[in-house]
Amino acid sequence: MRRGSIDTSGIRQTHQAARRRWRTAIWGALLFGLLGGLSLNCGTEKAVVLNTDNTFLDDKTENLTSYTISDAEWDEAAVRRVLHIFAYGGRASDDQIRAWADMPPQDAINEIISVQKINPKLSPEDPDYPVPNGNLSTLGALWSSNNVSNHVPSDRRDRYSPTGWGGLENIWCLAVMAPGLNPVRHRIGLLETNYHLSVNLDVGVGAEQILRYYDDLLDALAAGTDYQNVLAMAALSAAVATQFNHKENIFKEGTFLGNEDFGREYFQLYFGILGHNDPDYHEFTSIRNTAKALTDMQVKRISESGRDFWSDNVTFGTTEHYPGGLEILGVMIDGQTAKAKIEALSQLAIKDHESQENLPIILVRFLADDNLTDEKIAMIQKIWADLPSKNMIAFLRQYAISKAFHNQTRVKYYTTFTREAILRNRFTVLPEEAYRGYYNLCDALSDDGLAPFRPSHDVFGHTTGLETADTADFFKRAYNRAFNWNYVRTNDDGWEKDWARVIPRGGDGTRRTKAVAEWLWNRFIGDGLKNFGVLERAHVYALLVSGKDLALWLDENQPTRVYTKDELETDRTLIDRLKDAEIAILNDLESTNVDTRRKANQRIGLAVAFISATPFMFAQEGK
Amino acid sequence: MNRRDFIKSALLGGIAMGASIPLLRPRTSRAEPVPDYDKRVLVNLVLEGGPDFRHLLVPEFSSDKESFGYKYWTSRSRSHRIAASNDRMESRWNEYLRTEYAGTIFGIHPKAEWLKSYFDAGKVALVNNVLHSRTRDHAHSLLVLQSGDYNTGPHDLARDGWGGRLAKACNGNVVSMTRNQLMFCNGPHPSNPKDHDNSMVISAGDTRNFALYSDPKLASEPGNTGTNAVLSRALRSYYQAKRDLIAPSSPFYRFIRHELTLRQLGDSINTRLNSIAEPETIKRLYENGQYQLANSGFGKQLRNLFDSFVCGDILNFRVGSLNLGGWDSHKRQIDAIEPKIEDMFGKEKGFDTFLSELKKTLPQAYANAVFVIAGEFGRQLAANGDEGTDHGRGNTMIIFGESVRGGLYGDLFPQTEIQRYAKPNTDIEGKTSFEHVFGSVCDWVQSDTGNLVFPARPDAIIEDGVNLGTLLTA
Repeated sequence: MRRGSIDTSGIRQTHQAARRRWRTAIWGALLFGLLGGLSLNCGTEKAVVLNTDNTFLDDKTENLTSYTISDAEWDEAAVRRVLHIFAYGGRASDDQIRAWADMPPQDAINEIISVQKINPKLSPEDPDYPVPNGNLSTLGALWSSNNVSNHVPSDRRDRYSPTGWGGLENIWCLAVMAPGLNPVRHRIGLLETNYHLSVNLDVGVGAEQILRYYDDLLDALAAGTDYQNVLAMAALSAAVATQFNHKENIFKEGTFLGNEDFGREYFQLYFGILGHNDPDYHEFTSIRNTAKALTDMQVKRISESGRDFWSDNVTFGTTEHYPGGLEILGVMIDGQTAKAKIEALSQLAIKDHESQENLPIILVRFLADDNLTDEKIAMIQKIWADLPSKNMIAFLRQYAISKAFHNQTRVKYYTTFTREAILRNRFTVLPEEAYRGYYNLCDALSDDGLAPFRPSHDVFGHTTGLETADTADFFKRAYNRAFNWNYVRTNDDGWEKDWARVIPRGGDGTRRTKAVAEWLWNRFIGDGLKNFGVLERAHVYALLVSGKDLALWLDENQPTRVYTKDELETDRTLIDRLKDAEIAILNDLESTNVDTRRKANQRIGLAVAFISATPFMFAQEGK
Repeated sequence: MNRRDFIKSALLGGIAMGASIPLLRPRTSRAEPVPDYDKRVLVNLVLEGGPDFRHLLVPEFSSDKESFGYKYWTSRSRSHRIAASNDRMESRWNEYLRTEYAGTIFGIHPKAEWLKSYFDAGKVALVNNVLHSRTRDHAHSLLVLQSGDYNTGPHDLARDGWGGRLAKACNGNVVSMTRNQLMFCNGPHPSNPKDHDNSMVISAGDTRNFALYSDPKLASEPGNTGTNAVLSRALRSYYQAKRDLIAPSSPFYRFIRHELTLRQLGDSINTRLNSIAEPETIKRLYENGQYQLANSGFGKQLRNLFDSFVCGDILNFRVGSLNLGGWDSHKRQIDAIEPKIEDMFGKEKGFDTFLSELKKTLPQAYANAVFVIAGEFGRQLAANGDEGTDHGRGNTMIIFGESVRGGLYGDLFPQTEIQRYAKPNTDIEGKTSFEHVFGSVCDWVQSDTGNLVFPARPDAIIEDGVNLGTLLTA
């Protein structure tokens, strides 16, 4: 077995004992779901699944085999599914995707999922367009500057000023798309700051505060910081103290003055602790005392260069902080400041059985699965429980190669963020297309009334995939965006669309319709051609070979005729036409005739526009 | 295609740059007769965040330290941003619109003048002490409220909602006016209680851009070869052929259904709405620069609602869904919620404008609409130290409409609360289950649907002396 990156030096117990615990875990979780309607609100005694003390973590190798997919299942389609969900499609070359598919899944996933600022295999840098190894603050400073290494055209630079209107949002949108930068970092960045640990520009949190928050969290995750410490860092940030206003909470003359908002949401939103075992204790002791623990966190108001704004720094005072210990989650939490208390509490909260059950599910639901079954829930909880320390990136890696992710019941409905980022990332061929904003992600988000760092449900996060899929208006606007002229835009000042750069040639040195169509489908849909049926093929072939729709291409006298799958499969004439189209050579992409070349690129754009409006660009299945 | 070519084709084809394409409509302001709509309709407004209706509806100030009026005002002085002195509290009370009903004196917020006048007209019911949720957890309580089932778990995100169940029972449709469709709209799944089936839900977040794009040139030139014409034909043809190829159980089926619904209804709705000039008063609720409402998004929902009544017959409209968020007023409550109170209930604001226009344009629809307003829970009895209030469980619900028998249902200010003010974290005690409130409305929308939509209603709790069977006229 190739599990090189897994440390098996822990305490050992017999395989039989491990198997017994795993069985207990599955049954416990199933029973849990049945009894509680997946509410996970039963007693501690059912948390057997989730204990994380070392006695439970003995034989990791055996545990991992129970939920990691086999090498045989880890193929190119599996890699593409991971890339779509975790990397907004990524910008890896076809060769690199094949190389990952040929590697053991654990090794490949370690290369794919990382939140370092750059990841050359996933997002290669163009030598003519070098990018800084920088965080969002660095990128914003560069893109809004007149620095010679800034690739953003001068007339677009003011939109990247971090404190300008829409600046923060624009920086994030370009960071997702700029070749050379790591899209996984910004995918996880969006998850953590807009869904899981949301902060909101619309309720008065400052752009500087959010930038610092975003960068600090991602830097901590990139450094391998334990997740409870990342969550503590978030809880103690200036952005969160402003969002929930606990920056005003004080304890003075024996009285707590403030609100208990974050005292509650720290548990619920950050750790998934709902207090269902003992609601009164949770309500009247843990929440109230956590609110008291969050006292004397000063965030200064700064006046500078004609602007008033909140500092991105918190000073933890003692004079208006609750003196002494506070009982929370059944334990006395000590500390002289809010920082000391919250950091201590976070070590406890991460081990709480409700957190063990719910926190990994919260992450997976936002990221990857809108159809969680009892079996998958148990598996995800087991992956989390098996981590020797709670490292979020390690968890995501393990999940991304698990049978829970590569599972036929898994369905992820794309949010507008995911759908449009995949589409625009995969449509970008040359770096200048990103910097010139031809396929600007923020434009599409704005069309749907969305923007990063302005979550629709405030602290409860942005519009979810399920909401997006249920709401026909999102579908309508996405469908209508297929008519966006940028799909067929082929040239502009010094730039020309050049699909020939990335569309591979076949063994005979040509590009034939079938191969190009399949390549496009995999590039944008990434399902291993599962849903690229005869109907989809017929329409895409027609657009590629003629620039006309299927009906017009087949019979100019019947442009409104609808061709059914049955007809396309049984009518000899149609079959022959499609067979001819399949093997037609698409030579014109590299024609020396400018007009011919541009029309060929336009036909590719039309085919992508069509693909983008099919149902398969709105969701992903697990297998 | 270069920019010049594009601009040329855009002028011909009406393509918008950057975003999706606005649909072309004949610019007509010619007023056509509007078909009135006579089916009964429930419009449900979810106030996300837990609205503090004890800020909207307050007791009369009293200097008697043992009275409700004194306890309330001293405990709430911070959230009213006043000193806890008798003169300041009395002065604040005097700002409220004094109201009396069956011996109970209370104040309605001064920015809710329309609500006051409609209450006085006997068309607003305030159902008090409703148990919203057993937890004080926003996300879970919203699921409970919208599903209409106290047993909904915190992870039951995909289950049905009571609006969807009612529409199904009426053999009608839910029309969602919101940007994100709410769980309230979800129809029951035929076999899986944890899932939903939205075949009776229509998304109307932008009624004046309802349809899918199709190149307008195709009307006169079906074989046009422009890129938009090509793509329009390709997608129309593809979806039509694909409809029977995807099983309803497929995750992709819902997109097939969206396309079909938008395709089938789009032209009819466009035609109807294009023939009717949008009332200026309604337009002012949401259009940029008009500033009639603080939240223009809510104004746009009301516009969608108005249009839904105009197209009621096309939509088979029985249930409407609205949403207004931002009620989680832990801090600076006055700033947080008073603009919303005004948006909803102010003179010439949201509901005042909407109902005036509806009454004028579609009198039958006006007479046959009932509105229900509720949040996921209420707030605590006392203010916190941040000029706000923290989560509580019980709350008031507001029901209004021409068929409503207005008044107070349940004790607005229970005397038993007086002693509880001294204890921290206390909230309004839930004495009436929402099944009774919602169920009564369902029965009114279509007889005998209340127990179908709320099977637990017969055993649900109800406050002594409250009879919600009289909430609406027959």
